[in-house]
Amino acid sequence: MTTTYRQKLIINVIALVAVAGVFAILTPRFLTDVNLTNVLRNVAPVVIVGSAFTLLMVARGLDLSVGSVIALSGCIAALAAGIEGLPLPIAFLMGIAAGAVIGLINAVLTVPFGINAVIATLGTLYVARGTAQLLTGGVSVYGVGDDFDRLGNGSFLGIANPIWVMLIVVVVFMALERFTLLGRYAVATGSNPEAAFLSGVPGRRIQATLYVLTGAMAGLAGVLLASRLRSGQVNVGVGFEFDVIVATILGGTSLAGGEGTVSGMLIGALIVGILANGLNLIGVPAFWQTVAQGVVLVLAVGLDVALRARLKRRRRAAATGAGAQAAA
Amino acid sequence: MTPIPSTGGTSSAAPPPILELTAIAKAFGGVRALRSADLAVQPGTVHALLGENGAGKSTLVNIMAGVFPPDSGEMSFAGAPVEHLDIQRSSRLGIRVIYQKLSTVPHLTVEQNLTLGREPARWGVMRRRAARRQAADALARVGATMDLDRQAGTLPVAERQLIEIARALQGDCRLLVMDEPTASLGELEVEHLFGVVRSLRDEGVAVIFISHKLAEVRAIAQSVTVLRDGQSVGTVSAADASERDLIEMMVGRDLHDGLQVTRAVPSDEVTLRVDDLWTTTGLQGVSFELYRGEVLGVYGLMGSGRTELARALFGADRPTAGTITLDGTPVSPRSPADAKRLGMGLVPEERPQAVFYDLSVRSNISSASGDLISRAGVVRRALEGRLASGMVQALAVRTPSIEAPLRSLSGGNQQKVVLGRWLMRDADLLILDDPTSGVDVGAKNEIYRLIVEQTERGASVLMSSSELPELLAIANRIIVLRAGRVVGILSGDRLTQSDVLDLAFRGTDPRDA
Repeated sequence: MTTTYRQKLIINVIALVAVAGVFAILTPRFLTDVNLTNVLRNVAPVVIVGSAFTLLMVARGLDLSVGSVIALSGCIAALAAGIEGLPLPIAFLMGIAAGAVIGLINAVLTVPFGINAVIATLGTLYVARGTAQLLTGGVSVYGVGDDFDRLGNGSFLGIANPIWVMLIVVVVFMALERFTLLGRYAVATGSNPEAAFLSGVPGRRIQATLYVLTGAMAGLAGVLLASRLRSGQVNVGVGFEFDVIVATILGGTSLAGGEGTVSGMLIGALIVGILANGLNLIGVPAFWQTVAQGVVLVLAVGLDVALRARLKRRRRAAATGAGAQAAA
Repeated sequence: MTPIPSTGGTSSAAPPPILELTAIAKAFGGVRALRSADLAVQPGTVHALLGENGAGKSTLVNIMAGVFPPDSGEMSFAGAPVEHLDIQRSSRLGIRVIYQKLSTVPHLTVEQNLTLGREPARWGVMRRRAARRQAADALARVGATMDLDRQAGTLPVAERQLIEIARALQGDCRLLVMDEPTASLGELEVEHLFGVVRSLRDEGVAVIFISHKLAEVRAIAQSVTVLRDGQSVGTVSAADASERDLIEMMVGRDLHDGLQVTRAVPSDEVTLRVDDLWTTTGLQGVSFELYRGEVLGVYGLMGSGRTELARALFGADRPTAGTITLDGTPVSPRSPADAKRLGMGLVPEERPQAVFYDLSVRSNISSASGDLISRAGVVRRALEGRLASGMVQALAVRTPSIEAPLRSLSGGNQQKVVLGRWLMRDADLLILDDPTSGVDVGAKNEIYRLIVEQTERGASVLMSSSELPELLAIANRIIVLRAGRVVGILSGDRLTQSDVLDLAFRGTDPRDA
């Protein structure tokens, strides 16, 4: 973990506490069970997808198709449960599998074929959305049965199910990141692909795996959302990919790869989530929330640039100092 | 061999030099690239700069071009002292450098390349006709005729080079520096280039010509300055010095300049056999054998194929033909991961290709040993820590802890970490591509000791180096590469600087000549 990354994390935690603190003071409605549950339930899809997405970005991958995958997976789950009358677990698994398939397509396009990830996943963004429209005829899928929404709207031990799912996904990906070769190799590949290659690290396989995992997590988020909405919505998740990117970047993941953590992404997602929720509570119109989100993103990246520049200056000063000493 | 005074003015016949460098020194992070270099170039002459790899030629050129300042020493141009030179200023003075790596923009046309950065324009609108005339004039100056509308990237190297010379000559060019301009040219193209250089010379332009090809140097240059270990050894008249004289000037260094090495004792069992290996990267039928427990040196000038050989053996580039036999079994590593499984390990030429600067010493050492430190994909951190710590101790890596980022270590210690990466898996065949570059003498000796230790446990080492003395000290035999071919394999009392350099520079065995 580099110095700048640690500084960013500390600043993010402070920012999170500060934002939460300000809203707690401004409105008594912020620090309530109902509201906090609301915040967490709202950020759950971003965090679920972001967990895999962070590792993918650390390994120098990128996936823009996740928003469309959410729609496709939700529609497939709804169709399977409603029209086909398949058992719910199977319907949900089909939704997740659809996401994994799109992820696999992304992996094949970018890794062996070497198509630029932005272009390849922009392509699958359209393909996935279009497929959802084809499957549903462009209309939302209702009539999914009474139990369909238990995953998204039910709760367990007093905590809403989506929050449980989010927690499990975060824990699993934090474990992957910290304790497995997958996490290790993602960092190595992202931080120096050539060195990783010359160390015999299977960087391409790692990237491919992470594309599939990201697709699967988008599928999971899509299923959760469909369940919550008790229907398959064709137009859900438009622009969702940017919410995920914002949370990931805000969490300190480097655009150049090699650096970033799931926990950082979680904090980033919470900052955005609390900001949106708090502004809503104090009566700021929704349009301003969008503006605020953009400002926060640019501020965070600007901070990153400033921190890096400062470190570079210091390093250079140290190097010339050492050089002068050696010459003396 | 008549020495020419290295400073102008003392000789009554010679005009004052256009460029004069005195006692130039430059160090990079403790490694001294230039100790004390003197150079005086007369206008209207071609002055060759000669020296082994790492003698300091490129550093000197970069100082003239204003890429970086010297640590000490003086420079004067056209009689006036020059200080705080940067690239723009050196260009304004009339110093132009043509680097070996050509900088024509492949997607632009010949005309666009020739006018790049100095497009004739009015109100920001290009004046097409003026641009065309400007480009045609520039080409005429180098005696070239080519389609101005053709994309530069589709032209052969020789023509792209002419474009670059034509570019350099625009404005007021008084000193033209050419870094290995003939490296990728055929004989006829070299002739044309020399014609252009001669006519520039006759116009009064001073030309600094850097080449490894002694015959060319003698054909085109009037004077030759030889650099050795960052010092100018002397300047001689090209007409009077024989190739042999020039090689002797480049050699003649104390062999045991602080190097302490005990040579390995190889067995007579062949562990690696390479037969007629070809690659698209430039190997043209390389064959040799490596014995178990041997340190086989690989020497060659820039572009001879040293790095390409290392990469091909390690599966980083795929050979197009030829066979590799490892312990009697033909193998064809398709990737470094494959080569690793076969028991090979590579320390690449450039450290940025080998290390993860921002990651810990622990991660850097274990990066090739994922299989050893994990079970079912789960990293066993405690085991990894133990192994990495053990390696750090065995290699005497000076680091505050194994969790310190690699960036915080000195060059020598970083290099030990890269070596440790393969020692951790007991690699049987170590391919070391210039493993001591950018490393101080103390750490070098430690690296030599580690290499020889590996041979004692039965590992074999293929080690290339840009520093011949170290190869002569450590290698049991040396294969000399030239233009992708093995031009000689030396051992025993043939392991001398002049024998190796003769092969490397001339491609011929001095005893056959």
